[in-house]
Amino acid sequence: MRFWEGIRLSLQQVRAQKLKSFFALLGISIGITFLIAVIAIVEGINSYVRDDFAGSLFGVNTFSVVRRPQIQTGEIDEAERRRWRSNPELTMRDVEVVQDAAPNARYLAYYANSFAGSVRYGQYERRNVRIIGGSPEYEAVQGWKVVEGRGLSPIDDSQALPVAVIGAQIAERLFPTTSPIDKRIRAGGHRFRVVGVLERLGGLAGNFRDAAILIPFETFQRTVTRRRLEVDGITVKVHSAEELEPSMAEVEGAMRTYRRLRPSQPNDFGIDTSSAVLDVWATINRILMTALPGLVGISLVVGGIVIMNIMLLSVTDRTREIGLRKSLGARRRDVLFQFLTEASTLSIAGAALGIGTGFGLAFIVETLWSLPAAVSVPAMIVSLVLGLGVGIASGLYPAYRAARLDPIEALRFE
Amino acid sequence: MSGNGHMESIIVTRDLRKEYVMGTETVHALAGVDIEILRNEYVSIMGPSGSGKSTLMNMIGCLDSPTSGEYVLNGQAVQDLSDDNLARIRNREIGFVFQTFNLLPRATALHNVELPLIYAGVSSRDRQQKAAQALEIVQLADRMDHKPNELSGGQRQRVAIARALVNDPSILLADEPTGNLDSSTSEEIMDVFDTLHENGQTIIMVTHEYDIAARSQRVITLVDGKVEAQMSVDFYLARGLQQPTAAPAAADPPASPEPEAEPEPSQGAEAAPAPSREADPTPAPSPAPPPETAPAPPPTAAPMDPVPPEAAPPAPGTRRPISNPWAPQPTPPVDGGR
Repeated sequence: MRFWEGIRLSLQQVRAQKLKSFFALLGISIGITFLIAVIAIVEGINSYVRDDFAGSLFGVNTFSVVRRPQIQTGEIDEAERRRWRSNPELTMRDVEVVQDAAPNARYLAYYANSFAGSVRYGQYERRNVRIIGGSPEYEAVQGWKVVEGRGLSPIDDSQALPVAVIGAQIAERLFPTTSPIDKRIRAGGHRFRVVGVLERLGGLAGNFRDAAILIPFETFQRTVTRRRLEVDGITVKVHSAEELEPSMAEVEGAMRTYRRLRPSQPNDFGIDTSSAVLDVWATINRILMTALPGLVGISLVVGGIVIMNIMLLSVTDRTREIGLRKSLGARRRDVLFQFLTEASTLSIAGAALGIGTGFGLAFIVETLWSLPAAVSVPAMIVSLVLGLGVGIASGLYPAYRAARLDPIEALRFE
Repeated sequence: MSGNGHMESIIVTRDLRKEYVMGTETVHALAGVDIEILRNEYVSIMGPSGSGKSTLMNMIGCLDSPTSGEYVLNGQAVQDLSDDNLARIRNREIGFVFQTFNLLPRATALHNVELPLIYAGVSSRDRQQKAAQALEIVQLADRMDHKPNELSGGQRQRVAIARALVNDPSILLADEPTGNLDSSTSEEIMDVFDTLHENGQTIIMVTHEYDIAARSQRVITLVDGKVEAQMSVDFYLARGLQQPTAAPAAADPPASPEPEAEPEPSQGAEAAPAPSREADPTPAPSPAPPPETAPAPPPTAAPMDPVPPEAAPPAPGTRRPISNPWAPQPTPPVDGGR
């Protein structure tokens, strides 16, 4: 009863002095805006990296045996890098070893790739194109989908046919008005017949897939590269996340046996997984999340001080009112509660405003830089709790001053 | 003390003292005050500034605690109560009416009147109902939703009176209630007090205006923190006539023709209805303030003297019939149960 009375009263007070209240809660708002925006963006990037980015670079539930690890976490010293440079090339023999070590793999593909410089059709050209020679299951391992035409088939590979599946950006650039299917394009000094177009991925990861030309591995071996029988990677896709680690261990063991490594020797090959990407992101994430409380804390302290000042001013302004309330029977705790509620209402309103502008900011960032933003309910709850905490902390002293006022002097106050 | 059955005292103070230390000096704001006020009485407290009347009023209103002495309000000793308990007493027992109205500017008349009920923990619906009733008593039922700045001075003070009444207090304590009002509005407000008194409300009014004090039944004058005299209002007015310097404001003392009376409280002379004209017309203050000399509670005995009620009615005929101080109230007090 009294509680709601207090809330009602303080809302009335906030409404009555809109401008003053607005400035009072500005500090809190800025702090919470920051908190919400950063968390929304970080959470957004988190889910993006987890669900899309790593997945589209490496495929979901996949790992790749490579000559040198592509993704590194933690400190890597120069000696280790030098050692990686001396790792032997992967060959078709390694492919066989991996195939034997992962008999239950859902898909297994090997690939090689190189920069083709540019790709041309008629007067149209697209620069910075990567040509990938992939074994028949490459599209499946990567989770790539063909939206027009068809994908590569085992026959394309075994016959080393000059066919290609092209990325969405290339299709758009070279064939703005016509269908690319069955057209002949030139890339890396060779002609390929387009048989399919890949689904557009977009975003950061899209730069890789959308500007790629996928041709059969055998075709790649015979046309684009001179490194016969060498592969850049062997990618294994397992059925579920639980199978990933055991399967990796199995393949690693088989590779070490095949390469005749002693237990004391390090791997002379690398194994990349999408989880390695996640590890890199997790590190960045951790740094952000460590810095965030400090930044938010500073603005909340500033906001709290502002509220405390406004409340002290308000206590002085309303000395007579306090005297009156006391003369009408308000106890110390009633006055204390009234002012605490007022301070808390201000700061929670500030937090609510901050949540609103924070998400607003996050979505502006999302539209401008195509960084995803996610609504985080825990962050909202934390913000409101923080708001309440700041309100109580900053309202305590003014409320105490108000509660302690002598009613006689307060009534006489001019 | 008093043997009179329906003359129940609502306020009794014994040797009430209040001292302030200002620097090296001790100021005796109240230097031993003994007063007694009966239920349904209408009493004015007068005195020059610095006489301690504000301090006494704060004390009676439980806004302040005495340095020493006893204060019994409605049967309850309140001199040693804690802050919270004093707040409760203020809430339940006392209705304040201030010179400056002290209304919350942003709240409606109704909400202003509701305030004491909020602190009494009354539910929202009951509050509105009671506040509306109190506003009806002061004839402002049609102004409930107006804010103070939409009301005239007299209407504001009536809202304040409604607020003072809403919790059904034992005493209505008014501090210069007409101090900020013009004379015709003052009249209007004093009529409200008269009506309330006729309906059984105990009223204590601090004022320095003779014609305001004239509306009450009894006048207590304070000088230097002591009770200088307590006397019936008619006597007081008569005295004022005799001593124009003491009462320059009393331009028109009610035409009560009865002359001087003996102002010796220790003899209970002033307790007798005004027409006691046989007395010595010495208008000077009572020679010895009773509280100082009397050991026990003799001064309070004075107003208690049970004058035959029959003697009371319209004493000298000419005055408007403010109920006689010592006449028993025909109706039982509204809040007599406490």
